[in-house]
Amino acid sequence: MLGELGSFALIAALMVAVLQAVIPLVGVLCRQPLWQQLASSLACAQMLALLVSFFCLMNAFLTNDFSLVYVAEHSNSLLPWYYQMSAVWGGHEGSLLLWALILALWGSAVSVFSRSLPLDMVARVLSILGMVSVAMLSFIALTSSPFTHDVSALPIDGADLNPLLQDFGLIVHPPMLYMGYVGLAVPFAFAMAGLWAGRLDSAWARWSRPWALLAWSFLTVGIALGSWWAYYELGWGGWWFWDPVENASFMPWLAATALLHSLAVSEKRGVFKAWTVLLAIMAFALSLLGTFLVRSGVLTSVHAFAADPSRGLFILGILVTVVGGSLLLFALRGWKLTTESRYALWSRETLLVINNLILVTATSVVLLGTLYPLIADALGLGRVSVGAPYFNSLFVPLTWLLLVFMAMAPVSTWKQQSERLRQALVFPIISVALTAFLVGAGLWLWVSGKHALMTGLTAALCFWVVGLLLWDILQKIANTSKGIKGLIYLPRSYWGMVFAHVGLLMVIMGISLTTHTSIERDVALKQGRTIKLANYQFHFDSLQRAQGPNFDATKATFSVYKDGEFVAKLYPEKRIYIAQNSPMTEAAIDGNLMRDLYIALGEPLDSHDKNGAWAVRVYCKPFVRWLWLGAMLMAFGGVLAMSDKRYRLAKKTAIHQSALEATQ
Amino acid sequence: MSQKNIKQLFWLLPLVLFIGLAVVLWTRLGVDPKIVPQATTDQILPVFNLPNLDNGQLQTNANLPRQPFILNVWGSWCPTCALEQPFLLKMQQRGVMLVGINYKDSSADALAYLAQRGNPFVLNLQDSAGDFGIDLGVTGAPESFVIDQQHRIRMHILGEVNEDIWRTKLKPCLDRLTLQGAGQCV
Repeated sequence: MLGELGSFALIAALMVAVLQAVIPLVGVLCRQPLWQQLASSLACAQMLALLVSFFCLMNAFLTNDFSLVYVAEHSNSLLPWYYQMSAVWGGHEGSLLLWALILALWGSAVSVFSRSLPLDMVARVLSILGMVSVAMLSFIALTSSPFTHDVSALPIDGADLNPLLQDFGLIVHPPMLYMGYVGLAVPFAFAMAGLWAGRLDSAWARWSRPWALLAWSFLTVGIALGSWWAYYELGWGGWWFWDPVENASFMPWLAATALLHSLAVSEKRGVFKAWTVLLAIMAFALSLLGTFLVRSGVLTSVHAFAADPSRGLFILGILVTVVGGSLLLFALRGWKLTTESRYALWSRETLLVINNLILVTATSVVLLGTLYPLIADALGLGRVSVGAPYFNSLFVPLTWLLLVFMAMAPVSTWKQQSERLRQALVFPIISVALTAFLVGAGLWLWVSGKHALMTGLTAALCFWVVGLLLWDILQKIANTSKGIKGLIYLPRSYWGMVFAHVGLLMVIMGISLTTHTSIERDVALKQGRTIKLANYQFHFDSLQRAQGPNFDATKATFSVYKDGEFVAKLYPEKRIYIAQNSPMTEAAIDGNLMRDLYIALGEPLDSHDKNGAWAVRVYCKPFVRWLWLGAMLMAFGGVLAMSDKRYRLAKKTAIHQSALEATQ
Repeated sequence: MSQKNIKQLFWLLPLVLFIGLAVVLWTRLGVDPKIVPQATTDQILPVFNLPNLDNGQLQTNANLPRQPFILNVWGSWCPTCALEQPFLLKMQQRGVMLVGINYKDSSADALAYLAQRGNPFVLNLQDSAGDFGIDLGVTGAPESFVIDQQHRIRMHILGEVNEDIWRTKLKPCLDRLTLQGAGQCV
């Protein structure tokens, strides 16, 4: 019964979205403030309708309503309630509903938190968000409704959720990721609204920057969670596979990172506006492209949903309309945005342009690598996929280049005071670089493997960036004459930058060290035997049977000793999920900041002998945790920068200021 | 056209690039990326000289069945192969002839795997170095090839074979080969 309500609420949301797209549009065109004001209420109404629809679907899952095809295909009565809840987004239809709901949440957030912005601007932004909603909601309603009934073949029980998805990761990863890449719709809408109104000034950049920061932070967390999930769930200890779908989330992240930096220039200096707009379009276009790639079945991927060309065609239609339309608007209006501006060669502007170029190059590298199989096939060159070596060989030098400029940009100054970088910085740059390279060289000797030189160089560059950041902070304190207390008076956006940069360094160090110093062994091990790995001894104590709510498991007990001293007990499992009769490996991990010990149980090598040997994977992965901690730190930096007081003050003065600018 | 107009055309560049991309994506819709029409399709199976997994005797192309069969690339190290195994057994029960290529594996592991999960193959070739895999254009495991009675490759499927792929791809292809003697599948 609630299924019907959900379906109805979905259609209602679509209708409201149409109104949200049209009414403010007419209001702006005919200069009707009343019509423009309606935009906010409509955005909230759409959000509420979708919330109702979403909770109806969730209710269907919790009450095992298998008359809904979607529920029957993705749930099972034995599934624990928290997985039943998150199974809502465990398939194509439900995850699209989540997509639409999150878009509506962002829309209503804009309507609530942008009260102080000029009315016509809010109306424009919400109208554009409404248009995107219309596209997505009609897609759901016409081709992918999760509320489709099939009473004729009412199953006794559901087919169960894919065991890979029965994990904490499913509960948190998709919502966070969607918050991120759907959130990029907001800076996109601001960019479109700016183009439409013909005003893309500092105030505009200041309005859209906190939204871009927040969406970027969510995206960062979402990607990190996905990587962590893959690491402990897939059972081979990898954290990034350059899978097309991972790339689909990574490309908008790279574009959004470029956008953040470009927005900074647009806000502070009122330049690069056209470029910023293009980046905003690109970031959201890449989000939509990701949606297309995952759901149209054009690429093979572990993440891909059931392929259906008609759905693919629909999303392609959305992609072409939204992105094609915005790029057309950009072509028609963008050239008017160019402004003359003077800045010196070694100013922060230049460094940020270089940053943008590097990030856009990185985005193109990922885009090309992801689409290469498609393009090659379309051109008749056969089916090939480029794989990890391509990405790795290009990303390492790009990262080094990025680090070089990342070190210099924070200590440079806007516009003309390039002298600071060139003269005043000569001493700190040289001294810090020297220290950094000494540390890097030390690390090189310590790692001493095939890639030691690479690790050493990466470490040196990271230390260089940190050194200059520290030096900059010290300088700032010295300038305030308040001593250490001066630290608190530094603006939050500055601290946000510091945290985000340090977070990225942690990620890079984590990647570099874990890639080059991990020890991985696949062994056949009997109960009671011990395997040595680095300084650790893994002792296979025993095997037990265990039973979960919807699976049978074989659970092993391992004791880990370091140089004879007890470290931890680990319990890797091999599970058979009953409904689909599918085996799953649950790795056991003992982790701290310095290293992870990772055990995954393979297969029994001799099924007749109960005490026979098992295939066991034992890994020691140093510093792997830095990856995800670093990403969290980056996201924290983003949120911190977003909460800077100038965005709050800006709201109060925005109307005043825009009135001023209008009269100029 | 004035200088200014030419400059304005420059702003169309992103749109043009995007349209190009959209066209490429459009042509890919409905093309199943798991089926690989590639250089080796419709070619004679490359020559090989590989040990039989069961007894180590060297086998050549002459030892292959004289009827359409499916060549399945597998390894005990490959999780998806283990997932696919029950369906291979089902195909065997349906009378499909399956030849296995044990790819980059050790014979002890491979035999233990077959002992535990059942053996659907009439013949298993041991390609421990992966050389034959390179000749075949294998990208990973599992992969399956449909081979006709003249030992020509007729279809190449990446990834797991399941009921769906059997019904829509493999069975039509095998039926055509059995009924018509030969012919193209892709």
